[in-house]
Amino acid sequence: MNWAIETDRVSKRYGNIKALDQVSLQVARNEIFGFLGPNGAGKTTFLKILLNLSFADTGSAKLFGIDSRRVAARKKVGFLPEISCFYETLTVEEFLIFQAQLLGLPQKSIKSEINASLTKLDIVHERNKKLGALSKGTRQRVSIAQAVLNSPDLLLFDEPTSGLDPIGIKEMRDLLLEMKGNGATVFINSHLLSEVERTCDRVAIINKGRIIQIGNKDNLSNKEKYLEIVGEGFTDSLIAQINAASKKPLEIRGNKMRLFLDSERDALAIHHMIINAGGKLDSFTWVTESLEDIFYRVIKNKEE
Amino acid sequence: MRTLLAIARIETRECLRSKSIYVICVLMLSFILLNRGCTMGNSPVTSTILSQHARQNLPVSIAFHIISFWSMVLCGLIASSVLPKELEEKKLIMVLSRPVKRSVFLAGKMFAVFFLSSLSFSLFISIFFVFRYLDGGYINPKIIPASFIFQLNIILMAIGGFFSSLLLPRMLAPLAGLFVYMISFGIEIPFYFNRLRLIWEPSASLQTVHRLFPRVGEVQFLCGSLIHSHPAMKEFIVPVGNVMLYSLILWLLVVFIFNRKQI
Repeated sequence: MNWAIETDRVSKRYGNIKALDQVSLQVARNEIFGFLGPNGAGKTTFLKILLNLSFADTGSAKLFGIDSRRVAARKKVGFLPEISCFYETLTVEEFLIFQAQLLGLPQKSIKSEINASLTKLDIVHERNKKLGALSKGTRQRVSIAQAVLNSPDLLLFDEPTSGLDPIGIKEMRDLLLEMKGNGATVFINSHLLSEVERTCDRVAIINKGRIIQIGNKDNLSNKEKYLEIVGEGFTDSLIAQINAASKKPLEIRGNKMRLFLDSERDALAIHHMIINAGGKLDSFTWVTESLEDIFYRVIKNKEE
Repeated sequence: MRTLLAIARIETRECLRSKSIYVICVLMLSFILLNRGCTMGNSPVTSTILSQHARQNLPVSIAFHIISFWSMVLCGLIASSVLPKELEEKKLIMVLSRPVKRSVFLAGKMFAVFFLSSLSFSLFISIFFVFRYLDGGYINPKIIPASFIFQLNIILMAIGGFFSSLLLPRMLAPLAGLFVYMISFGIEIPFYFNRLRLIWEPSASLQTVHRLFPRVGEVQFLCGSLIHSHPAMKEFIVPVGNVMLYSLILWLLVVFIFNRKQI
């Protein structure tokens, strides 16, 4: 299969720090792929290696089957960096013309491509403004506009929703889905797990340079159900009693208790235990782990 | 080529934001105006080193060398700040993530630096000779080939600036370029002026240093002489070849180092 992104045992060190450790990953064409991890996990380094901005110590990376070190690999790639560093004296339009020239677009199609990009990001009225005078959100929109210029086959987004307001985030999500609808592959580095959960087809979790979990967001391996109990009167003795009975990890945050149980019968037993101990229940529900829960659990487990 | 020119155009705009360019231009202009006060051929000084002819053309020579010097300073300052600025401000990420070869990126930047330095040199040389025309009613046409050959020095300075900025801290890079230029210019004096060698024979160590440094000084002296005398063209071959060879080697080194730079 000709993958959009394919890496084979990519490793990278910065001094004593392992930024990436044997990262092997395949991203299929036309999928939206979420790359999650805490700060310093190696997400940006991975993107830099894909773009030949940084070099792997060992291993190989390919974009559409072409070695990522070759210029041809970046022909149909749009990149949105985490922090957009612009030539501040240029206007939005001048900047996009420059980007179009770097892409090698023919002179006659540059205007129409830029207009399409500006319209897509709803920044047509900002075209004559200097980049240095733009708000953070608008800068991010300009940065996205340059990334989607000429409808790339692969979009590499590093924290795409950074600096965007809720409306901008929603529009961003719609844009990603639209790009996917047009046949593009999207690779997202993000901290915003809820956003990733909404848009991505597959997700990988990376920590300390290693991929520790990868899969479809709906059936990510070990995705679990837990019992969420909201109420009052969760005394220490009651908690000890529940702990002894369930023998499973238990989390308590304020008046909320989270329990991983094996069966409905265990849940019923816990229910009786709380009532008998004089506790008060506001809600008692089974919840399927969200991506955020999985991320938190996987990272925590790894650290422990 | 379009990509290279696009990068050069943006870099030219960026460079024009630098205040040091305008300071150096004001300095160059003030020297030209001061030089205008010197009238050709009225020097009362008799000298065994400078001939009557050389003394008559002294104001033109001085003006040429001053404009050349400041153009080289300007070129060194701009060239040595381009890459550190790009690397510090991470602006190059937006360029190199596109299908652009790093060598093309460098060439675009280099072209902008050369264009600005060459433009300022040509502009101030033109201003000087317009003044000469207004004062004497005559423009020496040899200024054109002299200025043309001098561009080689500007190219070497630009590449040298890029090279030093990739190896040295930002503050030291322009000084290194200027140091090499000044040494190569100063060291050329006893070798270029035959009459001077009558009273000062360069030592063996000085001759070694002279051989090692690029012949930027010799090219500049030859260009200066070309304006008012007739140096044989074969005199240009060795220094011009030397400067071109240095430029080529340094350029290859710059591309080699930059291709391995992690961003």
